[in-house]
Amino acid sequence: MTKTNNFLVLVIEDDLRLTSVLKTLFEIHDIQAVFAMNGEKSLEIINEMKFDIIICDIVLPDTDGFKILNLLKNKEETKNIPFVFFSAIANPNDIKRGLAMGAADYITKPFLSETLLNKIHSILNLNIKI
Amino acid sequence: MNLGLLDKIYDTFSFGVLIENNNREILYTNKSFRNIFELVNEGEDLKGLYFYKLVEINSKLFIKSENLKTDYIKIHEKGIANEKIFEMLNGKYFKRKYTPIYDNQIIQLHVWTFEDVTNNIEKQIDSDFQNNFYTKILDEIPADIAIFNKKHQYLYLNKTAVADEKTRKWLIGNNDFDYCMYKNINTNKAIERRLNFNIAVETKKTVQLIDEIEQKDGQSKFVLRNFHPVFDSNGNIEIVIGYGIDITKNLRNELIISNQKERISTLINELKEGVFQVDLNGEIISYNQSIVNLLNLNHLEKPEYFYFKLLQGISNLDKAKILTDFKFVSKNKSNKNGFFEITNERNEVKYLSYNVWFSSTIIDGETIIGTLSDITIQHEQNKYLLKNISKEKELNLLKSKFVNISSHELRTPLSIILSSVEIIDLIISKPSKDSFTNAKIFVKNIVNEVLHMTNILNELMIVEQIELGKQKFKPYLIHINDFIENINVGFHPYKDGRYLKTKINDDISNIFIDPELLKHGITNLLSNAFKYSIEKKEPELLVTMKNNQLNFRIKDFGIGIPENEINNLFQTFYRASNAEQYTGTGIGLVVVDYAVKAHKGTVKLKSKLNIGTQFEVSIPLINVQ
Repeated sequence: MTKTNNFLVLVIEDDLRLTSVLKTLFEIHDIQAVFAMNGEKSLEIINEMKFDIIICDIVLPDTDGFKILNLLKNKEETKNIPFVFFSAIANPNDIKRGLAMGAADYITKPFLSETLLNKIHSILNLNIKI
Repeated sequence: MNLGLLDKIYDTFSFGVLIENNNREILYTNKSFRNIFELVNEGEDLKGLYFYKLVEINSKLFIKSENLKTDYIKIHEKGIANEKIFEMLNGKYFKRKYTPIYDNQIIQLHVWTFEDVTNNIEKQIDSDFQNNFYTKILDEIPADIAIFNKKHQYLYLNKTAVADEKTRKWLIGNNDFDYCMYKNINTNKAIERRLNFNIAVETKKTVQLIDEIEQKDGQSKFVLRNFHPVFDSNGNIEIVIGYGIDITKNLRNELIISNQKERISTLINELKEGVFQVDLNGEIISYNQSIVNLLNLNHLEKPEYFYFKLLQGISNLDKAKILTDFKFVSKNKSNKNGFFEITNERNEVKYLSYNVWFSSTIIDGETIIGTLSDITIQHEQNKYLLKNISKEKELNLLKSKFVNISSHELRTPLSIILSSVEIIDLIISKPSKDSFTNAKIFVKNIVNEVLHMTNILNELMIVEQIELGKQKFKPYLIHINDFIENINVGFHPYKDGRYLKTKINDDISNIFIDPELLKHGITNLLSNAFKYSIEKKEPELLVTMKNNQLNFRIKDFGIGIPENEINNLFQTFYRASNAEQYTGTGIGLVVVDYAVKAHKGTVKLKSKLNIGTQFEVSIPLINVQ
């Protein structure tokens, strides 16, 4: 693991219990992350800050992950931000749909932290190469 | 004997006269006598001769002259007046009449007269011929013929009526009663015939009756008997002609046809299916009993229009459908089938199917024939099957929802558990002074999530049982305090540290409920009350008894429910739009609804957004003891 990670992650997740453990996990692994509980809040934050990767739940109180991805892909400033779905919805159709929309990956819950972190790193490295 | 003037008179007679003295010598013959016997002699020449000598002389005149001689001798022996007809070879007939003339009881003279009766006899022969001719015809006719006088005595019978000639002759002048006496048989038949004969005489009209006559072989013979009165020129009855025709064969055929008709009719009437025939205007021609029963009618009256006036208890939509089908059948000369619903006076609904087709026969012309069947049972079965299919679909949908719920609601806690385990692993792999405290936080996380998952699984199982109809209602007597104490376990305190505010009215003691089921219901309402009122005032539970109802009032001061969503709350897996950020499966209220309905109770709710929600569960006192 790298000691310091100079990238910023946005996590869009409404379950406070889950964000609580994710915060701890990211802290342990020295990953800087910002958490948003709903669609509206996340878009506000995206406008204000520059993220290297976005990890987004699908079922959200005010919208869903697909709509957020769609919005981001249609904006010049955000269309290249790697977007990873992070969801309890594990059915193949949703996974296919997410990837087809341009998501970099689709992580199903429950997940191993190692998987999550490896995916973040590999996506960011790939992105840098391009 | 010289008769002088008398002789001249006698000669003018058309009949012959021969007078003999007591010695049988001819005293006198007139001219006509001599003509008949073709005697050329004068009367005087024949005097003193014997009559039979004259016969011998001219025996060639007679067919059998001996007969005449024998007759002559016999008459003289007897000396009694007598007459007889003789046929002559020349084709003539004469009637011989003998009259003895007595004086002092001794025959003095024998007077013979001979009358030419050729004309009469010929007429008689003609008449006899005709008589024979008609008699023969009458005898040959294959019908009993009898002619009666007004007193019902036989004047004539043909051979068919009575074959035996002796009996036939005997019957003339007698009646049926005489016949019965003669034959020593029961007079019933005679009485019946007499009654009908009398009717014919009284009414002056032909009367018919059917006579059943048992024959020697034991079989019955049926005769259609007619008494036909014949009137004279004054309109009075002269004779009554009785004639009978053997109708045994016809009757037997009729009986066979009638039996067949009866059998077919019985068969059709015994059919559970209705059978009917209507003309192209819908007017009833014929129908069986089942039609009346199936259409809930007392009877079918003609001419009523089958599909308009008689189809009572049928919706206008169905009537229009039937009418269209009938029109189609008559127009296209084809067939149609369908079904309709019919309601009787007691509001019982039947489902009837019909099959109608075009028919063209010589007797009825163009008609519509149809059958009607009661398909209520099949319809109910179909409905039941469809219901089961839709239930099956519902269950499949539920299953699919269950998969989604499990996916979302179980995968999230599993993520927390997994991440927590990994964090603990990281903590203990790099021990620090806070390791124990930090690790404990994540262990608690794990425990909470496992409990949460267990709770979800339990609720899902109850709902599944409810949806499958397997959840049983098992009530028993329990004290209210024991019941509430059991409920309170999870809310004293709730996981956020708040306590449920409980109040039970004093007048309640033992209640007859299914505590397990009702506990699920009340607990769910209380959990919601806590869950949706985080950082607000603690929820309240008030148990009261009012108007024969046991009431549980659960009140919270939380986020409330949007008004337009209240009606959807009790649907499986439904969640209010403002509840999405709260964990939940949308099945808690389904359990509440089921538990309350099992107790024949009701749930009412009042809610205001951001002010709070109040549920009131009422259970009838009938279940409270």
